[in-house]
Amino acid sequence: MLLFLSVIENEVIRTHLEDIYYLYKKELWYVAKGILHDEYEAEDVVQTALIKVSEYIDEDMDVKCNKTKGLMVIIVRNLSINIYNQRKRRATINIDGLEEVLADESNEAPETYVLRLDQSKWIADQLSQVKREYADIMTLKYVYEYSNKEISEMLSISEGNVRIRITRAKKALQKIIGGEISG
Amino acid sequence: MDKQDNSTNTEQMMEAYYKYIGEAHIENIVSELDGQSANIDKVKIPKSLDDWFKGYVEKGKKEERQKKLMRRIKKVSSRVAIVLICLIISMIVITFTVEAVRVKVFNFWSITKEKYTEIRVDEASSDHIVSNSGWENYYYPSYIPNGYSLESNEEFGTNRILKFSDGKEQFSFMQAKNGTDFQLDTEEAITEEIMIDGYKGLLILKDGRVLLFWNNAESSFYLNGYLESETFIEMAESLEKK
Repeated sequence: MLLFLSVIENEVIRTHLEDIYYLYKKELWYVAKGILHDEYEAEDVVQTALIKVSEYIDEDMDVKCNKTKGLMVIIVRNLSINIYNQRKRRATINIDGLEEVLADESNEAPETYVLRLDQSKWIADQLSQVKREYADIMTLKYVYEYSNKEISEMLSISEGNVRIRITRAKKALQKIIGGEISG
Repeated sequence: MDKQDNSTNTEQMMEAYYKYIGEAHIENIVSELDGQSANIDKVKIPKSLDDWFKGYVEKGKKEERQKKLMRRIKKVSSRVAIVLICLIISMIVITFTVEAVRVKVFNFWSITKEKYTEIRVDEASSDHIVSNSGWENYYYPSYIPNGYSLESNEEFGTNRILKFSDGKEQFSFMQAKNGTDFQLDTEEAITEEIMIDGYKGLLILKDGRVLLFWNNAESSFYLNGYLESETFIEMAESLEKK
């Protein structure tokens, strides 16, 4: 059982969290168990995800929409992957070639992105195929508009890792759009 | 447009594009889960997870109730404090401006400050009492400190007080039948139980004054003055019946 540090005090937020739990607990458990293949670790991950998301719930949140469901799945998935990697004693991020990646960021070609607006789902799927965490982190950053610090707290990774993943995700996206990666 | 504007516009456009991709990613996630709904429906959530969540929510509710209560107490206590302060200030003002109130207030304080030790030698509780004598006979100390002589004697009902003096200092010797109530000032005094001729006595020392109370089978006595306690004890032990 995890020790938790914060307790929900606002009644509305508490109600939202209860709704989130009872609506999505099966999906979250399913995702966590699918990665970890361990009931206890899956339970820990779901608990952690709920505790973390409780800090980001606001009173205006619509808990029944796909956006909230997506958020919970992204958090659970990434936390599960972290634990899985820790278990396997692998680094969660390979920072080799960081300078090269950062240097390449200035070479984006805007026209290339605009051309494939109608294939957004496919592109997102391709990005997930490259590395699921890339698509997740881009979503947290640009759809949910969390800061790097907030993302790092949510996913239990360092801010440096967050920046690197975003950079790599953009790089991978560039390659997908450019046709270098295709399904 | 200059280079900086172009860069900003590009950045904004890219962010919008990333958001668009992110939203598509969310739709993919939901579609994927919908595709696995049959398996997901079969999932059995461990009871421990449900229990944990209920406990987590309950703890939040409890802390919220406690915080609400503390806020209420703070609010009420600050109001009560203000009211009390106003009352105290009014009392102080009235006390010092209205004489009748001032007298009553000071009398109140002086009465509550008085403290007496009430002693009564009851015939039924004493081991040495045989009988009570009348006041035809009285007790007189055969030992009187140097320089002191009998100055006066007074009788109040069955109580007899003898006063001794050396011209400067005075001490009194009182005797009464057993069963008489004595009120002895023991507030902030040093008291000590002693034995006088086999009877329990009480020595009271306060502000330099000595009061020795004791009894015998018939009567209760006290010596009161500024002499040494040993002097009073010697006098007490030297009583003779006259």
